[in-house]
This record gives sequence, C-alpha cells and structure tokens, in this order.
Amino acid sequence: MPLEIIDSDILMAEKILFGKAGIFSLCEGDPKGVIASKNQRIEFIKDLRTLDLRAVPGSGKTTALLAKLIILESKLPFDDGSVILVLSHTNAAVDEIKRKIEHHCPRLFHYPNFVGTIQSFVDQFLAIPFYRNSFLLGSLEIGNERYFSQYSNSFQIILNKFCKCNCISREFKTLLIRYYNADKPRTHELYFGLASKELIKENGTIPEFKIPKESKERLKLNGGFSDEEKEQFSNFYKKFAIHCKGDLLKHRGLIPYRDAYSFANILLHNYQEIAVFLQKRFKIVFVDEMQDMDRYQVDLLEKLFYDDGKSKSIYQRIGDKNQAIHNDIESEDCWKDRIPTLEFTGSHRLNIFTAKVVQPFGLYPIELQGLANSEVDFVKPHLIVYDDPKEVLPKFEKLVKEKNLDQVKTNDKYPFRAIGWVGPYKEFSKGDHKGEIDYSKHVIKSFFDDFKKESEVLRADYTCLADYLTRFDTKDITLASIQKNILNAIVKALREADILDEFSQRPFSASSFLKYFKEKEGNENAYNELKLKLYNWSFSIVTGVDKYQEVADYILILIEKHFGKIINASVSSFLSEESENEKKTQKEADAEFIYTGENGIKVKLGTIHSVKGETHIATLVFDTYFHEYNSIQLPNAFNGENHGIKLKKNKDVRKKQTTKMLYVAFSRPTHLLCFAIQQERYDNLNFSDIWEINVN
Amino acid sequence: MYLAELKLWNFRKYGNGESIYTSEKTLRQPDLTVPFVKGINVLIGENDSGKTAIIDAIKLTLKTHSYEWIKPEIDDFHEDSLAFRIECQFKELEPEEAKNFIEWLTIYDEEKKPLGKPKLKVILEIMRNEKGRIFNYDVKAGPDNLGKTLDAEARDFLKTTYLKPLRDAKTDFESKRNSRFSQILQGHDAFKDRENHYLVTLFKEFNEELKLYFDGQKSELIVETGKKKKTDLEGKDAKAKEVKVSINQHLNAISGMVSELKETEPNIKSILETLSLTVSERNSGLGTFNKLYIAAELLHLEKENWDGIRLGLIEEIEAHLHPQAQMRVIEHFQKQDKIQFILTTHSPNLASKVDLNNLIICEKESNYVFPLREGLTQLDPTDYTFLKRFLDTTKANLFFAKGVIMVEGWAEELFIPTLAKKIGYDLTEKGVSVVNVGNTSMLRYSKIFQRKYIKEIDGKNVEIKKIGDDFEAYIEKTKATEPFGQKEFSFLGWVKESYREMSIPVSVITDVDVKPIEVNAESTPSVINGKITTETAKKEAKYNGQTVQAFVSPYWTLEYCLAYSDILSKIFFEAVKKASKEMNEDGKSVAEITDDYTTFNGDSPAPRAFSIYHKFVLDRGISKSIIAQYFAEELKISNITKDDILGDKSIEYLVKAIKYASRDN
Repeated sequence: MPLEIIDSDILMAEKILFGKAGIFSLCEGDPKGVIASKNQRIEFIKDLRTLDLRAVPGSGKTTALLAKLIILESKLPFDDGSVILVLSHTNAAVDEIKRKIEHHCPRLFHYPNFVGTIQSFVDQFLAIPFYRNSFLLGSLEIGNERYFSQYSNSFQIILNKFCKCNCISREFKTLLIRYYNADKPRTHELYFGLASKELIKENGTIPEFKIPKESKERLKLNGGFSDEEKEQFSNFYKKFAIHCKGDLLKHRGLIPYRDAYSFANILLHNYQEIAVFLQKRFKIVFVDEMQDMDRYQVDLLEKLFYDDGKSKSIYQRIGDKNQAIHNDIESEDCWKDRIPTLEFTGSHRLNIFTAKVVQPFGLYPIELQGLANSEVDFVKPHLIVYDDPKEVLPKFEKLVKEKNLDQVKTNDKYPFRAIGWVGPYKEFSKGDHKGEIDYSKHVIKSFFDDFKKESEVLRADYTCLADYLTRFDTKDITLASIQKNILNAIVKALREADILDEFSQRPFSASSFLKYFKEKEGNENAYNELKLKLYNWSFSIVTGVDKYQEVADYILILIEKHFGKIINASVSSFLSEESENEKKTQKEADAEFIYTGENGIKVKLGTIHSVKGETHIATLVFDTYFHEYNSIQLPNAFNGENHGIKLKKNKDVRKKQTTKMLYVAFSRPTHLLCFAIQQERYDNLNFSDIWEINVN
Repeated sequence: MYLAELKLWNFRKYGNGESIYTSEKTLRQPDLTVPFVKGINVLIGENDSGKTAIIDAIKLTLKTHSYEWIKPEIDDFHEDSLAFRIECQFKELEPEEAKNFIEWLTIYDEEKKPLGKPKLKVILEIMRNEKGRIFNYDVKAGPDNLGKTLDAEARDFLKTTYLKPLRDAKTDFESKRNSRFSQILQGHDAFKDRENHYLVTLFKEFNEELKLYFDGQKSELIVETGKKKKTDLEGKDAKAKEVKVSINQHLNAISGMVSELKETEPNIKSILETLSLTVSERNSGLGTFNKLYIAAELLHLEKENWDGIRLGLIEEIEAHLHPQAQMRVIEHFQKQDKIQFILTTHSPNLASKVDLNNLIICEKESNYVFPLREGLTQLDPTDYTFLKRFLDTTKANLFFAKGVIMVEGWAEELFIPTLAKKIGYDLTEKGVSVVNVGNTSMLRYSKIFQRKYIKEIDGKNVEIKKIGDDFEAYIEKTKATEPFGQKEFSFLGWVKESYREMSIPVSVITDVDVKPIEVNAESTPSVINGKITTETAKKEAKYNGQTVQAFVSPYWTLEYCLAYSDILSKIFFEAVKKASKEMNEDGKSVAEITDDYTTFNGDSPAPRAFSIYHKFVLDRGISKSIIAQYFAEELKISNITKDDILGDKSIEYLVKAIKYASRDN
C-alpha cells in the first residue's frame, strides 16, 4: 500500500505531542492568519515528495517535523523494508528531537533508522566503512583535537626522515620549516582529495604552496628562485603534508572531522553503489537546520540523496536561509532553491510589530506574519539610545518592569535576555596601539563588565593529569564523564610512554585498554581491580575528594611494573605539570552571566550564536562592533527597507553576515524587542515608525 | 546473498593449539575453511567427522528463527585454547540486502578493486579464562579482522532456519504458546496487518457469542434491519448458564468478583497459537509429520518481502524418512532457487542423488572438509556429467569409507575382502570399501579423491601441485622467475590455508593387460616383459596422484595371476570347476569341467596359468563373477596361511593394495 499521511494520522500526532487536537488541525474561530499558517503545516506534514521547506522564526517547523516523524514511525517498517533518516547539524539539535519524541517512537532512534548529526552519519555510513575496507584495520578516530595536536609531531618526524635520506638540501629544509611555521593553521586544515596524493582545502579547491615572502626577499640577492625550484618547493611541501596525514592515518588511525567527508567522497567516487544502498535503506531523509550545513556537507547530501533527481529517497531539506549564522562564508548560497519549496510564513512567536521589524533583515525575502497573540498589549520594539553603555541594561530592566513582562507566564528560568554578536574586547589590529585592547569599540563586555567568553567545550585530550581529573562534565549526573576522563588520562600516559597495544600495534584507546585488561590471560583479577579503582576514584572525585596522587601512582606502577617501561620525561611532565586552566576559570566557564536590576529582574547575557532557536519574552540586542558596527553595516534595514536583494553576491560579505545575525537576534522575543544603539550612530540613521524610541 | 564461506579457528575439533592472538598470520590461516555454493550443500561423512560442528558454528554465529537457546559451551573451545573464532562470509549482496548492512559491508576484493556486489563478513570471537568462565561477546562484522558490533536487529536479517535431527512435528506444530507453527505464520505476509485482520474479527464475534452462550443467550440476525437481537437459548443449550451462575455464586462469596468465560484473546498472535498443523491422512507416522515439518519450514524460508538471508540448516535430513522419501525431499530442495540449504547426511542414497557440485565430504582422519565441486577436484567438466549419470548408491558408499579399493570387475569385488581377511585385514571393520566401478570409469572415480588448487598470480592461473618439500622448492622457483613482491605473503597464506589433500587412501587395482607369449606367438619373452614394464608405468602415471595409488597386476589379468600363483592356483581351479558345474546345471551352454588339477602337475606357472585361464575360463566362457564367488569360499575354508599369501609374488600387488587402503604401509 502506498505510503501516505492522512488527517487521522495528524490527529494522532497532535495527541501524542500536545495531548489535544487543534495545534495543526483547524479549529473553529481561528483567525485568517492562523488558518493560513495551519494549512501550510498540514501541507508540509502530508507532503511526501522531495522538497525544501523554508520556515520563518517561530513558525514551528521543528514541531511540524516531530509530528511528521511520529506519524511516519508508526508506519514503519515500510513495505520495501526501508526506513527513515533524520539529520541535523549539532548534537544539541539531535538531542532535542530525541528528548521530545524518543519515548513515543523509540524505533526511530534505533537501527536500521538513523537520527543524528550529519557528521555522525558520514562517519558511520561512509568514512569508517571506507577506512575499514581500505586499510582492513579496526578503529578510526575522527576528531580535530587529537589530530591537530599530533600533526606537528608528525611533521617533524617526517621532515627529519627526509633530511636523513638526503632527499632534500638543508636550504630546502629551512624553507619548508619556515613555510610550515608561517602557514601552520592553514596547512593543518588540508584534507584528502579524491585522487591519491591530492590535497584540498575546506572549500574543495586545491591549495597552492608558494615560497614564503620573507625567504623570497632574502634570497633575492642570489637571484631568487628559478621556476623549477619553485615547483620543486611546492611538490615537496605537498609531499610532506600528504605524508603527515598518511602517518596520522596509518599509525594512529586519526583524521580530522573534515576528512570524513573526503573519505565519503572517495568512497562514493570508487563505489557508486553505496548511494544506491543508502537510498534503498532510507526512503525518507529529513535534514533539519539545513541552512547551517557547509558547502561540502550540502554537496555530499545532494550526491547521496538527490542524485540529479534520480534518487529513490524522498529528500526533504528544512530550514531558514535567513538564519544561516553557523556555516562559513564560503558556504554562502550553497543551499540552492529547488522546486517544490514549501513555506511556513506565520510566526507564532513574533507579534505583528516585531515581525515587521524583522522582515527587512531577511537576506532571502520571505513573507513574515506575526501571529503571536500576546496576553498583554502588544509592545512595540524599542530603541534604547545611549551615551554610556553601562546605562543600557538598567534601562532594559526598567522597561521590562514597566510593561509588566515579569508577569508573563513562562517555564524559562531566564526569559529576559541581552545579546550581541561579539562578546570580548578586540585588540587594535594596526597603528600605534597595535596589540592593546580597544575599549572604544562596543562589545557585550562594554555593557556588562563581568561578561566572559562562552563556556569552553569539554575536551577529551588535555596536557596534564590534573586537567583530566578536574575538567569533566559536571552536569553529568552519572559517573560516566569522570570515569571517561580517568581512562583517557591513563591511556594518554601510556601513549606518552610509547606503550602499544600488542594486538593492533597501535597506542591504546580507552576501549582497547579495557579490552586488553579484560582478555589478557591471567588478568581477570587485575581487570576487576581496575574496575573497582575506576569506580572508587570516580565516586570520590565527584564528591570532591582529591584522588590526584592515587591515580598518578597507579599510572606509574602500570608503566613500570606492568608494561616494564621507563618513566620518560613526557610521562613525568604529564603527571607533574600544573593545570593549564586553573580551577577558577573552570568555575567561571560554567557560570552564567546574569545581570540583576533594581526591580530584581534577572537578565541573562549571551552571544547571538548561543540563543539561536530560542524564544524569549524580551530580548535586548546590543549594537556591537565587528569590523564595523552592525547598525552602520545595514543603514536601511532599520528603516524597513528590504535590502537583502540589493546585496551583491560576492561582495558585501560582512553585510550579509550582519543581516543574518540581526535577523536571528531580532526574531527571539514574543513580547519586547530592544535594540541598543549609541547616540552618534542613532543620529545618522533613519528608523521606521514601528520602533519606539527611548532616548535619554 | 548467500553464505559463501565458513572459517573456524579453535572451534571444537578444528584447531592447532595456537592461540588466536599470536599474529595476523594466524588469522590468515583458519583451522577449517568450508566453501559453500548457492542452492544446496550436502555435508557427508561418518560420525564425528565434523558435520555437526560446522552446522553449530553457523547457528552460534547467525542464530536461528526458532527461539532456541544457543550459547557457547566450554566444549566448543578446541582442547585448552582460551579463544575460538568463527567467520561467516556472505557474498553477492543485492542492493535490497546491502542496505541493511551499509555500516559493515566489504566492498573491495583482495586486490582493492570494487566488488560488483558487496560481501559481508560476520565475526564471532569468544574468549574464556582458565577457570572456564566464558566472557560476554558481541557478534561483529566488517571487512577487517576486528569488525564492528552488529546491531541486534541487523542480526535478525541473518537468522537461519534450523531443522534439528530428530524432528518431531507432532509436538512442535501443536497449538501452544510460541509454537513454531505460529511463529512461521506470523512471519508471513498474510498476517502482517495485525489489527484489522479478518481472523481477529471472526474471533471477536465468536467471543461475543460465547459470552452470550454462558449467559444462556444467543444473538440472531434480523434480516430487515441488519441488526442483531438477543434471544434466550432453550433446553440443554441453556444449561451452560448454570455453570457460570454457579461459579459466580462461589466466587462472589469468596472474593466479591465476577468471572467471565472467554476463548483466546482476539489478537493475531494468540489466534495463530491456537492453530495446529496436521495432515489429512489418518494414523500418520513420524515420517509424515517429518515431511510436514519440512514443508512448513520451507514456507517460512520462502516468505516474501524478506531482505535477509534464506538459509536452511538441516541435520540428518534422512531421519525418519525412507530412502524413496529422501529422494523426493532432496529433489524438491534442488528446485528451490531462492533458498540456500546446508544439510548433513549419513545416507549414501542421498549422496548418490546429489550433484557432485553440491557435495562436501567431511573427513574425520584429516579433520578437514572437501567440497567436490568443479574446479576443486581433478575431475574435468565432462567427468561431472558422466558421474552425474552413473553415481549410484553403491558407489556413493565411497564417500563414507576410510579407505577405498577401486576395482574394475565383480570378481575382484567379490573375493578381495576374503583375501584381506586371510592376511589379517577385516575390511568392514577398517571401513574400507571395495567398489567396482568398471574399467572405463576407473580414472574418473579415482579423480574424485584428487584435489585441485588454482590461484591467480599476476593475472595467470597457476595450479599448485603438491605440498611439502616440492612445494617449498616450487615457491622458491616461482619467486625467482616471477617475483610476487608483496603478494608473496598473502599467496603463502592462501596456500597454507587452502592446500589440503584428502587423507583417504584409494587403491586402484587394475590389470596390466599384456598377453603372455602363448597368445602372442610371434613375440619374444623379453619384448613381453618390456611391454609389461611400460604398461605398468603408464597405468601408474595415469592413476597415481595425491592419495590415489595404482596397483597393477604383474601379468595379463587378475585371474591369470591367480592361476599363476603356486599357492592359489589349485583352489582357483577348483572354483573354476564349480562355476562351470553351476552354469551347466543352470542350463547355460557351458560344459562342465571334469579335468582334475593333477593335469597340471609338472607344469611351470606360466603354461598352467595359460591353460586354466585361457583354455578353461575364456574359451568355455565361464563367468568370472561366479568363479570369484566360489574362489572366495574356497579361500576361506582352505588352510592357506597368511605367510603363504605374503610370500606369493603373483598376487603381491593385491596385498599391497589392501594394505595401502587399510593405511598399513
């Protein structure tokens, strides 16, 4: 029987998601705008063609997608044994989907279905299979941190090897090292191309290696380099880069995230059938937050699931191009419009005024209807014009109080937010004060002194034991995070001591280390002891007991007694080194930045990036400086002019970025939007009359 | 997709004492490799030849559809080894099948060229400690040696259908919870829509009617309105009401509850569990039920909309089936093109019916298995066509033997066992089969036992001839002329893994067929002797190879040799006489021999042999097989001793053949 979604399916999904009907389905007395919006959603839920969906902020696209997933899951498995694939960009987005519907439709989250980030999908279905098939080895570690930290080592080793065998002259060696040092960040980010021995940059182009400027000048005296020599240099450098990557791949099983896509492309190039298998497996493919995909991700998905229109999969891309603030500049415009494109134009979050303010910031024009039916009177967007940035937050707090917004019911702990593009101060990039902090350019910190960078991401790899034992995920309510850190620390120490796993002849990973203990003859007691130790340490550490010395002692015994190796310098420095991040920073990193005003109203500060997808009651947006003030970049948009169309494709990159950034920032609040602008810039700008001006 | 290969390391009797983890090299050299073909595979061999180990290894790795509890046991570990490993290689996955295993597929061949259709290698590795505790394990899959854990649901696609040796359809197909029959039915498309199934509606109606019945009522359809109305039952039909009333009275007194009488819950699973499968004939025996069992399992293997494997494992297919039924079953199996079968059998009947291409011999002696399919034996394609026509039950016996003596006539077949007993070899006891295959097909039959190994090296097909010293030399030589470079290691690995010879000794007894001087009057003794030498060498060259060895008569024919023998000629002549008498009495136009053995007194062996064999046997047309019968009897009762026979040159070749086939060299 053909797959189709009918009204009763939608009712079922509504009941599961909201406990009642009428969220998607029409109700008596719905206003015209709401009816139109509901129809758009029903149309999308029922549509099982390959399509794109553009949805304005607050239009409930994720909810519609969840409903669709619940319905489709109830029809699993499809007649031909195919299943569903759901991709998003971040783990957070995936977890959100899981959290909301996993207990209603558990099958969706298990084999043979797949719900995950694009990265995890590419790793699992393409990169790792390719690796296993090509190298016939088990474990491949895909990640940037260990990879980037190992890259330099690898480079040195290989360079020395080359020098020893006299393949290159001393002069060339110096040049190569100099080039490497000058261009480190970029050379780290070279990826495997399709052909063997070919490297590409992130955007897929083939890099050129030029003789560093400095050397050029110095060697000019000797007549400079001949073309032949230049080519030689370029060839050698390429060779080194390839060797380094090859070394990390073969001996450490290590590639950066981006190379997973390289592997995927090579696999697809050598073995097109894999696309057929994927299409047969996944009848319906949803990509949420499509706008956040980078070009290489979009291209890969296109090859896999659109396949020039020949695909057997139904491929539905969902997102809002206007909110594409996560991908890089290179990926601008990579999500190409395709027919059919459905639209969600009604925002249930924004009120009619805010919607009018937001719409002109849409880089790719789309109708935007504010449908929010606020309980209090509509609050118009406010401009807070200031001289001293420190006066802005108090004013915002006062405004919130005045409009009685603190009475609005909400489940959020912090429904009032203050956000800006840039958090910390920037340094002067040129001139007399080069390198000093430039306090004159307003950033979030200018408005709130205590503001620090967003909390750092927890890593798997630290340089000293102390970090492993302190920097675990404190939000984790189980012992998993700390136990993982302890294991990683032990493995790291073994790696520093050059101890290899007998079986794979590779450094231990956490799991191979456990496996080693579990399965080595006569080790059963040791394995049980280790497990007990891990438990005791983990439990003690989370309850605040210091176990540093015990763990360090264990590592020493393990290396010396068990593996019979000596404690070399790197091991001892690993064990003794002071933490690079003192505990103080740790606490701050976890802290939230809250401003509390006179009326006791709390305002949480953050970057625009950090609030994407959120809904607030009131949002204050700072006019921050990034190459230029946001407001100056976009003079006309504040006047209600939709300028997106006028921006040129390749120029105006900053303007485009700023447009999207403010689009996201302005489309957060249900009730009150404020924009804080300095007096002098206010004077030079025209604002449409939707804005209510709040001058000193 | 189909199961193309099974590899075992340290599993039960297959092992070499080495631990698995010593090296990559060990992983290249499994203790057993069993290649399978699409369609039917028949494992034949005596008891303890490893048939069950092979089936069990597959079951342990892939699991079966019937929910039996299969787990590793301590006896599964070869001797003292602490780990065993099983690999199942599936080949030719269609896209519909591959889609379920994308994460685990093998997509390149050994030369790193993309495979047209991908493969899937499933790995099971189980470890234990010295105290005998078996560790938890995962079934993994992948092109590499470690593999990645296979999802439980993905494993469902690999489940086999297993029919155990003593199948009891009567109990297995009776109605009960989780009965095998209900499982099979649930897997069928007909019962896919579980909620609105027709049967469910029927049962619901029945349940309502049942409830009414116990309330002393029934429902009646009112034709005009299409609705039902309740009416009271009368007479003994109304009696059931008393049951309920009575129960409820008691129940109410005890607990305050009210009972309800019900048939099965109206859901598909419960309904199917109430069904039992049987045949319409009365008094059906085990055999009938057994056939029924097989038929039902075939239904399951055939089901549509199934993207997993269709693999039937059947142990002792002949159990409970008389030979005629075995034939029919096997013929039916051979027609199933979608399903792969792996069967075990002891039945020569069955073996003779199955194409050689589908036979796999399990040898106890060598602890190895030998598929007889084309390309793996020295048989030519034409030989296969020939043997397909002429392999009968008697000849199929040779697959179960521990040694084979192949002869070209009835005579040899009849008296060789007696001769063997005389010199202390009980062929039956030793498991040596004497098989008469007739002169013309001798070569073909003997080639069944000779293995052929072909390996592509640098684009050329090279036949690997022999293992041992010669083999090492061969490798050296090949290396010098065509360096394999990197391939060398894998090549050596391949050879060690694949090159096995069967251990079954095969004696081919054949006549030299050079006529003596009496028949070839114009020839000279030296010419004849020379001819005998060249003919012997020729025959030996023709048959000898691997474990097959030719034993050529020193003179003309077997009978001639017997007559030539100083010890045996007397009783041989007696046998000839008795045979002539029997034939004469039977009305055949054979004159009874009245001459006495003393006639030959003073003759030297050659003229005596000529007289007896040529003048009496051939000229009078006396049946060689009848002679052989009498000769065997005479020999049995004669007082000829073992030493007499062992000292006789003219029948030395027979003694050697017997000794060789009995593994006494």
